[in-house]
This record gives sequence, C-alpha cells and structure tokens, in this order.
Amino acid sequence: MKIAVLVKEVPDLEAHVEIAAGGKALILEKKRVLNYYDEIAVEAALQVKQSIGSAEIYAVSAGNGTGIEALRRALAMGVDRVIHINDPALEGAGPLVVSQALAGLVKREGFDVVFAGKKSTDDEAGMVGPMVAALLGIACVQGVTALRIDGKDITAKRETERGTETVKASLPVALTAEKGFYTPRVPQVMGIMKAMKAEVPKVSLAEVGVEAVSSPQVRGYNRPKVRLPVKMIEGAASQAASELVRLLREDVKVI
Amino acid sequence: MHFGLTEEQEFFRTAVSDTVERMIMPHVEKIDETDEFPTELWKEFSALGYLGLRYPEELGGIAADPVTSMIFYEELSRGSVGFAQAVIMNTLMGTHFLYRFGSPEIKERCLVPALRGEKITTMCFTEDQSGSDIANTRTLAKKVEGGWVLNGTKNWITNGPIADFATVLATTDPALGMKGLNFFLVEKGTEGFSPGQTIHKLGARGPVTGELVFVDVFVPDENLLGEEVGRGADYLGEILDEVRCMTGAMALGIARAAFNDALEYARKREAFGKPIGEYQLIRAKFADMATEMEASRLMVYQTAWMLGEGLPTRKIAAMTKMFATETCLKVVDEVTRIFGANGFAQEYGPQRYFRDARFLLYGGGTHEILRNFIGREIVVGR
Amino acid sequence: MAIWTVCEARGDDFSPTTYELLSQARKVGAEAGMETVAVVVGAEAELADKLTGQAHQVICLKGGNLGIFDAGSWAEALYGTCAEAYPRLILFCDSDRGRELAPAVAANLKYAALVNVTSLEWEDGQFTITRPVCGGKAYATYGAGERGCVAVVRPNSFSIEPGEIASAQVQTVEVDVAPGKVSVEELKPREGRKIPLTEAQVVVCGGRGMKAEKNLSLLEDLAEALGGAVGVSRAVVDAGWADHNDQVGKSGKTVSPGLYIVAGVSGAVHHTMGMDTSKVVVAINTDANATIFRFADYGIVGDALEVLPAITKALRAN
Repeated sequence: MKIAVLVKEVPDLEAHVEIAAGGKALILEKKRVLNYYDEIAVEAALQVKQSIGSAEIYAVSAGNGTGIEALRRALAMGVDRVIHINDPALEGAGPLVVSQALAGLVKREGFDVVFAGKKSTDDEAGMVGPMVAALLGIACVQGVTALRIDGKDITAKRETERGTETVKASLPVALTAEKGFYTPRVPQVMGIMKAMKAEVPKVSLAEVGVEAVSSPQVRGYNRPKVRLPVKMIEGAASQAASELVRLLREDVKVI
Repeated sequence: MHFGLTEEQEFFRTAVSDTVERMIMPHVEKIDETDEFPTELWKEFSALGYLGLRYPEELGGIAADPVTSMIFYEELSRGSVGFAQAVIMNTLMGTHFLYRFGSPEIKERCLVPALRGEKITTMCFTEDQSGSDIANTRTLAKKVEGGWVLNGTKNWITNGPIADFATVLATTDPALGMKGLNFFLVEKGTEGFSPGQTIHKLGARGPVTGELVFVDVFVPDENLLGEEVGRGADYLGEILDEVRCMTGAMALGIARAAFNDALEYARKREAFGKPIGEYQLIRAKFADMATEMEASRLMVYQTAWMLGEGLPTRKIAAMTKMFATETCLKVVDEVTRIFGANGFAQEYGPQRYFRDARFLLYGGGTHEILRNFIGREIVVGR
Repeated sequence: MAIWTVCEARGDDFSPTTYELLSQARKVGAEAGMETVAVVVGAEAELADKLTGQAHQVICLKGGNLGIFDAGSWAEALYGTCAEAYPRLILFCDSDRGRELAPAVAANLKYAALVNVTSLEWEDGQFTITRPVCGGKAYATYGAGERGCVAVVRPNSFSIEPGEIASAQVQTVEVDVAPGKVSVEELKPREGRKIPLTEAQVVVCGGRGMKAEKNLSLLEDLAEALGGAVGVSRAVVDAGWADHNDQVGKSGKTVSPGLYIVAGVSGAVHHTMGMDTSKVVVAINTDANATIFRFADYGIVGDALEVLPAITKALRAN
C-alpha cells in the first residue's frame, strides 16, 4: 500500500506577527512548525502502516522555500521519504494552486490513501485535502476521528454538526485528520538525527504538470478590531448581574 | 568566523525544544511541588533515546558533538532543571567512566541499560568535608585480594537513594591528596552499600538527593574505573570542562525560560494605563538581561565548539560556567522584580526559576573556587 | 455575471447565515451590476418559497440521487450547474456542510477559494474579500480579480436585510448525478444543543473556574434563558467534563456571536483566538487581573458559580 501525507508548514502559534509597509506586508517571526493537524495525519499513516504490516509512506509539501521544516518533522516521526514542491510561483498561492501541485505530484508517485490534516492552524481553511481529492477524483472523508481498513474497504468515524457519522468508502480515498484521531508521537532522537541529515528532493510546479495560475492578491492587512477598555461592573453578584442585564438590554441592545 | 548554529543544529534545537514543551513542561510544577522522581516521565522520555546523546552508536548513542549536547542541556533546563539534573547523571557524569574504563560485561550490564533509561545512575563526589576540594576526599578504598573495600559517606548525591549503580570517588590514602583518587563502580544491592538521609532542597527539585553510606563494601578489581591506580583526578579532568560548559548551558536555559515569561508578562500586564513593557525602566531590564544572556550564549557555544575541536578549555570552561550562572542569577532576580508581587507567588514561574538557578552555583566548582583558579591561570600561567 | 449563494436549510427554514449571505450578495451585486442567484439542492428545494424577494433567480437542483445532504452528489450537481453559468462568486455558509461542498466545487471549476471570510465588498471594480490569517492575529483583504472565486463565509458576518426583489424567477433543474463515493452507514444525532455553536447569536462559555462537571448546568441555564449555545474552554475538555465539539478556541470552534459571556476562563491566547471577533463580550473571573478582561466589554470580578445564576435570575425576573 502507498500512503501519501500532505503536510503544511505554518508559523508557530506563539510567533509574533507584525503588519508593515502601511498595511501592505505581514512580517512573521521565523518560528515555523509542522501544522498540528498534519502531525495527526502523519501519525495516522504510521498507525495504518503498523496495523497492515507493510506500506510505503511519503510526505509532500508545497511552497516557495517553505515546507522543508515540516517535511523534516514528518521524517523524524517516521515517514519513509519526502518530496518538496518548491517553486517561486507558490509564493502567496491559494488552496487551488497548492492542491493542483500536490495532486499532480501524488498522481505521479502513486497512492492508495491520501492523508491530510483537517485544517491548518494559521489559515484554518481546510480546503487542500478535499480539493486534492476532488482533483484526483477520489472519495474524501473530512475530519476523521477513527479508521478501519479491511482490504479495499474503509470505515471511518467523524464528528459533524449533524452528529457522529460512521461512513464507508473504498480505496483509493482521501482522509483528513481531526483532533482526537491520534496523539502525534514525539520523535525519537534517532529519527531527528536522520531527518536533520536527510536530503529533501525538490520538484518544480512544471514537473508536476501545473501551470501557475494567479491566486487572489492581498490588497492589505489589518489588525483585528480593537475593543474599548473593559467596563468593570462592581457590587455583589446579584447587583452586578442586574446591572449587566440592564446594560445589555439598554446600552448595547444585544438581548 | 562563524558564530551561528548550522541548519541541522537549529533543527535539532527546534525538535528538542518541542519535545520539552510537549513532554516535560506539563509536569514541571508537579515535579517541583512533590520533589519526587517522575518515574513515568522518565520512562517516556528515555524511550526517545536522548540519554545516549554523546556516546557511540554501537552503545545505542548518537555520537553527538558537544555543541549539539549543549543545545540539549539548554533546552532541557528551559523546561525543568530538576528533571535535567536526573537526565544529566545518565548522559554524562554517571556513565562516562564506565564508558572509558568499564569491562565489556560492565558496559553490557550497566552502561547500555543506563543509556536506555532502564537503570538510573549517579556520581558520588561530595562528602561532608569535601566538595569542590576533592583532594580532601575521605572515603577510603583499601586493596584486598581480588578487589577493593570501600568505607565512607557521600552526600549531595543526585538520584542517590534510587540509583541502580554509582561511580564513587574514593582515595587509597588521604595523605596522597589528588594522587590518591580513584573511581569505583558500586552497584545497588552490594553488601554494605545503602542510602542515608535525604536532603530537602530549595530548588532543582524532583530527583531525590541525599547520602550514600559505604560500610565495608567489597567490589571486584574490574570495578576500579581506570587504567592505573591513583589517576582518578586526571580522568576527572576529561569531563570537567564538559560538565562546566554544560552547567553554563543549563544556566542559559533557565535564564531564557525566565526571560520569556517576563517578556510575555511585560507585554500584557498593565500599570497606570499601559503595559509595563512600555516603561523605560522595565525596558532597561530587558536590554541588560538580553545583552548578558547573549554573552553567556556566545561563551557556552564557543567553549562547546572548542571541546569538539579538542582545544584547551580548562580556563574558558571555568569562566563559562561562572559567567553563565551569575548571569542566570541576575536574570531570575530581575524577572521576579518585573513580575512585582506575582514574582513572590507560588502560582507563577519566577519563584521557581529563582530557586532553581541557585542549584547551579555549586556543581562544577563554586564560584569562589573558580575565581581562584581563573585568577591563578591568568597571573601565574602554566 | 452573477453572485450565487448556496443555501443551507435549518429545520423548516434556511439558516440565518443563508439570509446573511443573500443580503450581502444583493448589496454588493447592486454595486457590481450583478444579479443574485440562490441555489437550493435536493429535498431542500421544497423550502424555495421562503426565498421570495431574496434573489433575482432561485435555482432548484433536483435529481434521483439528490435527496438529503450528501457531499459527493451535491457537489457534482453544483459544479455541473456552475460550469454552465460560471458565476463570478459562489458563496457558501461556513458550516461543516459548506466546508465539504466548497472545496469540491472550487477544485472542479478551477476557482480560487477563500474560507473563514468575514467581509465581502465591491471596491475598485472587483470584489474584495477579507479573512483572518495567522490564527486571527491579522486580517488580510484579497482582491478577487477577474476570475471566479468561491467564498466560505462565517456566520454573523453580515446583517440580514429584508428581501425586496419583486419578481424572483424560480427555475428547477433536473440533474443526473452519481451517488457520492462515501456512504453514511450510521448517524448518531448530537444530543442537547439545537443551535450550532458557531451560528448562535449568544454563546455562554465556561472554563476551569466552573470547578466541576456538574456546575456546567449553570452555563446551560443561562444559555437557555438567552436562547444561546454553550461553549467550553480547552481546560474543561481536557478535564473530561465536556466534548471537544463544544470547545471554543484555537483547537476548537471559532465563534463570532452578538453576545459572548465567558466565565472562569483566564484568557490564554488559545481561547481568545476563538472568540475575539464576538461583538459584545462579558467576562466573569475571580482574578481582577485576568487577561480575559482585556478582551471584554463588560467585566465582573466574582465567582462564576455565583455570578452566572445571578444573571440567569436577573434575566428571568423581568
């Protein structure tokens, strides 16, 4: 079995973000990590490999210079190999271009299962996994929390607004990993050393058959809206509660 | 000249830092509060293979260079100094002499399991009347047929009461001073070898620290860790600089943890209508702390690099240990001030950094001893 | 050229987000000189009457395999229909369903896709679309340009305006699509909450300060009095008192209600990233210095276990 894992490199949650050039640029502290949901996807792939005995797992990432750290992390966790789609045209690229690139590569390398994170922790879009599935023309289950593979058939559980769903599909399939699916392993030092020294093969967009198309361009960046200083309501619980209800009804009229 | 880490070393740092944040940091407060050896965490962490860091691959290690090792110690101490202290016994002080002089059986029986974390180890230097002054060691090793008999009491032994084996410094004759010193391997269960009192420490809590008592403890000849009798002090010299550099790296780790907490606090905590980080006097503290920490960092990694190159490091390693530790003490003090009264509260980190930092004053030589040594090196030379 | 909105039913009407999207589509459509088209699929076409006045055109997609929601077949029906009309914009509600349909539609049409959208305007001859980036630390505004674009829009981003389009043209299109490749074998409906957390106009959220699982009922009581939904912080989920689906914050749901009441939550960045676009925020915490007050409009220093029932009582009193 061949398992592809789509991974993204994201700024660390704690990384400092600054809006510069009069709102035209975003400067990010250089603290980049493998997207947490993708870590879960890598772990899921490793678990599948363990349960079925043998499989080849490769991780892929697309970016202009970014993605290598994420791929090294995947290697440290235990994937067999990695490939980086590196192309200047991927700078600021939207999910469509990224998905076309990943789908092109995965098609070339072969796959039975494609794993991805449910979403990234920076954009929280969750588009790439299902878009790659659509481009490949395969089934997609988003937000998987449990999985069983019997030969060509898969059974997966997922949580949605509708409830807990148990779904069935056949290979090849794309699965996006939700929190609670697995706790990603902390890599062993041997894995880290191996990942540190590994050569990460690079391919260009043209090599995966993608003509770069333009993505929506950023016109500007803004800070989240600033709230006025908090108004503290004094007094015992019952007094404060009555005053709060009055303010919500009469001042800001939200109830 | 090139003062940065390589890309690979940066990757290693990120990976270790992440491991510490995920695996160790959630337990830091509990380790400090209970002052008990975190057995579960130990198992989980040692399974990752870091304990063999500096040893060859055939022993289960990864043959890391000193710079990589220092990155490890720095990041580990940024998490928990108590836990780091226990780890370091297995990675360095408690295993080095077995690696250098142990028979194949000793390596198989003690060293390899220790690098896997299956055995806990320790190093016994300090006695009631000797610490940095090791020439004054009173634990006596007497030659008998087929081995040695040890008598004496060791104190301040990290992991002492729970160690599976110990590397013990003893003298064949107190009158010989430095020339009488030797290292012996003593395993748990050996007759006459028992733990004594436990010490309740101010900081670096977690690993159990206490006395080890030796009453007519017989060990076979192969447990003498050294090629020749009386060369213990020379052998100690092999790791002394590495230990001092490592202590500097630990100091840097604690300082960074404290600094980062203070930075977050100063950006968020408001006084008189604006974050305290906007006041010049607070900013001056950050400027001073950052400057001295940068100097510490340069010293630690310069020394580590020199160790890797096999250059003479006796003086620079002593300077590094002393400077980085003193810097750390200043930083943790300033950080408790930045936190105001919260720096005095158990709920916040600074009080722990403040206590933990003091632990580094003693190991690898007190600063009084080190100043003497550095001064003599400079004035008298060699 | 037109703006399409893919409608989403909620019980016997369409979701409030659907009306929000149609309202904004009419507004920006008027500025851009584009018509508003509402698309309803499968069994939900029975509700098409509700859309009177909401759009210039209502398209009902019907077919043998289009009954209740099924991501695969619905997406195929949608992109098949879109591929004939090539709308400039296709709007989806940011719901689980929207997030399943939008990527498949965008990928097949080779449209750009923007998710988590909080604003849509017509400026300088193109649509501008805003969404948070870097986990909400900044907002980026994109120019959609001349190409087609799919936008998945957060609930509560736009106000609902009365629909005043006089003569809507209702068109039923029969589409023949294959069943989806994923079949739902079992669905265990979620118990309790009726309003999805992300769509609720009022969210009452509790954290570690709720002290015990049994005290979460105080949140339920207040939410019920306000017609809202209950959320919890990560600490509560970690303690095993509540389900991950109810978690507000970075690793949970992002909410943006009109009123967000938060009790016993310190205000770590993980939490505040999931709620800081809420319109009015009320924070309750025993620690007067708690970070959460920096994200609040109103603050009460006190024990959540006393203050929450007091608010519920005050609401019910008049």
